[in-house]
Amino acid sequence: MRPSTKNSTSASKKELERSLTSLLRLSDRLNSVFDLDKLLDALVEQALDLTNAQSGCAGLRTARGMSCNHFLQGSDVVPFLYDCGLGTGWAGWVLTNKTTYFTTDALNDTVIVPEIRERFGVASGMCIPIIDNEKEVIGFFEIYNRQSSKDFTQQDLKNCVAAAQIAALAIQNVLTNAKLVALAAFSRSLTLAGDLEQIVEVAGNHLEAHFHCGFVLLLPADQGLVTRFRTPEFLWTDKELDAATWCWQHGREAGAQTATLPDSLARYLPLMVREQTIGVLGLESRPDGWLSASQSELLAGFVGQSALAIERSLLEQKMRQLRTLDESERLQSAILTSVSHEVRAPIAAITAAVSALLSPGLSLDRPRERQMLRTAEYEIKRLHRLMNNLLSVTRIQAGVSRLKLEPSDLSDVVGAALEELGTSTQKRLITVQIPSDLPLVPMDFDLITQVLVNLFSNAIKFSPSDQPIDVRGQIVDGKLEVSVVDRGRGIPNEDLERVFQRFHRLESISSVGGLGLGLFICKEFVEAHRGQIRLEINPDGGTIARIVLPCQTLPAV
Amino acid sequence: MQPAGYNLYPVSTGEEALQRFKLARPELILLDLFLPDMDGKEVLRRLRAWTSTPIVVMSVRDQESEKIACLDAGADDYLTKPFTMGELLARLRAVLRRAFGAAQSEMFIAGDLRVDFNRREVFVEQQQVKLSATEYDLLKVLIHHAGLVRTHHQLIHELWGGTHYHDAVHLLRVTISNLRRKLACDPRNLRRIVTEPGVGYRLRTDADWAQVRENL
Repeated sequence: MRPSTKNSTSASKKELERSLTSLLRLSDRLNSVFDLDKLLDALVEQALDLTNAQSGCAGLRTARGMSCNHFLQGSDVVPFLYDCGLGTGWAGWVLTNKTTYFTTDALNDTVIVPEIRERFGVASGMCIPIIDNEKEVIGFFEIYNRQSSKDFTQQDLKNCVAAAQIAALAIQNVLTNAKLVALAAFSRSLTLAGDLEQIVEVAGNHLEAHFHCGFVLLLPADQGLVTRFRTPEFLWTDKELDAATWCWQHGREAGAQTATLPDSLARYLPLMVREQTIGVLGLESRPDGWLSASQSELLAGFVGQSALAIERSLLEQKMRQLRTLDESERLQSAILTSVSHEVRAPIAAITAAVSALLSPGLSLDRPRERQMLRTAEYEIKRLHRLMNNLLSVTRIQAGVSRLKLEPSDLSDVVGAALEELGTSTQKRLITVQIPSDLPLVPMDFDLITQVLVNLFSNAIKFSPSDQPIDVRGQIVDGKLEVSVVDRGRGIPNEDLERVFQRFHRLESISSVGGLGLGLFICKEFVEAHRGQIRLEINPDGGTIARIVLPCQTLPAV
Repeated sequence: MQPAGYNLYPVSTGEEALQRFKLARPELILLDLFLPDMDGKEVLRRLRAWTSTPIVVMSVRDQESEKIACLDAGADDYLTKPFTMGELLARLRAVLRRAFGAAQSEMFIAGDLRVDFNRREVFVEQQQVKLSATEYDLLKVLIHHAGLVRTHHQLIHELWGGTHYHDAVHLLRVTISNLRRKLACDPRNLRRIVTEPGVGYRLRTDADWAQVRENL
């Protein structure tokens, strides 16, 4: 197994010169190739040139061992799948021993894969491991001589080892580049992911593409870790949960290929943000699984970025909850303090009417009796409407009830609102202008009816009874626009926005009853539909209340 | 309700209702879904197991799924609390007319709407209105149950048989919308066919009509 030595100094000098030129050329070539397959081909070509060998191949380390799918013979490419596990074939041997394999008697060699010996007529040859900075074998290359050709020299071996070192640097460069590109892509996708589901999806896609393995994501809940995502093939057992839980509690890796609970199927990595474990990522691992240094770094990068993204989304979720809670609490207390005031008026009217009817000393004629009863009925309806408004707005705000979107006919909604107002629309001229081909638009029928009731009731309250009120509906820029137009005295410019605030009432109209909740409720309901509402000054005098609702079906709110 | 000509047998629990029903044999049952001893839907189911006596259920707002469940379980109609005495009486009349009414009449009149079934002609304010075959069928089904709610499912089944619900519900909405437009003549008459949000539709009877007019 010792290469033959040649003693001619001039020949060896020439030889040395030739090898140096060839190695320089290799270095130049490899540094300008960014595709791993092309890089390996260039390595083999140059090695064949350097040693005058006839055929050879190069491959990279995989999870299963070493792999390569074609050979070079002279200038021909020969497809041939060459997969070696640890200790099998020359490539497997160098992976185990981390050193060069060399033979001048391939015919009696027991390590060589026999099919290769026959296919390429191997008489002598060598297999050189490509070793990275971490002293890990990341690939190999092999070259063969046929029976009739010359033997490899000591110089050939030295040259090939040098070529392997040059290749190792080039391969690591390419991998580092690929890693940076992958990390950048991952980071960009994460930035675009809005919620936890999307983050998990992005992470899943990238893990799948780069590591070809199933994974599981666990986040803490009230009682221990809860699986938030798991690829379908991933076999989930109590043993896995134990390893994941240990990892979460200790903030250190656990499971397969670690010191803790190594008989788990997956390796569990803590998702750390500022030294806090916010979750656990489990990567399915095969017994022969192997990650190169650059893959390990890529994985660490993925894990770190995922942790940050997940933390961000959890924080946002918490903020949203807090905000809703805060809003609904403020609303509740505001309602409590203000409602009593507003409820008192109708109750006083009802009490007066009913006690008059029941009073034994008071004799009322039939028409007067009817009038009292009508007053009571009107006030009860007003109370009922008020309660409906308050209930709906609290529910929508507290997130208790969702919108019940149904494709609805605007004419129908307008009709329902006018009916609900009943007697108060009496003696008012209300014109409805809705084109007959207006499409059905998704909306919560009850809520938009309440919005229109509030807008109509404002229009009625704040405009003289001899002035008309118009309702118009039309599609503008693909959205439904509904306007309620009155010819009252209008709202001062500076108040157009403020009137939508809760319990805001204009100083100038404080003589007219009302809770100041009407427009606030309209705004809440319309915005729950992802629509807009605004008040405008009617050029003909008065106010235009305009609602814009999207026409397409909305995502659930 | 007694002044309106009804004899009442009030009971306060579901169990009592089931017992009392066997003895009193009422012509109509008014059932509150909120009972102290059991779910009103359970009472409905147990009554429906052996009687076809009309049942009107009473529920509160925001319970579309409850309402649909009741209608599917065999309730004839529902009332949403709070309701007025006028609404209650109109609903009871509609249910009773449907249950014990005379043979289908040849003519239907509600407000200014007149339908002549023999000649398949529809008039609004004396003007004849041209309806498509589906629109006419839909109107006929609604008239057949005048004053009563028909769920989306029921209407789809009656109009198109076993059509897939999601495709058909859109078709139903569009047909309703077209029918409404053809039957409407002034903005305040738009609600001849009332939408019961999330549940279905109801055609107003002449009596309902009178009441709406009184309110307006």
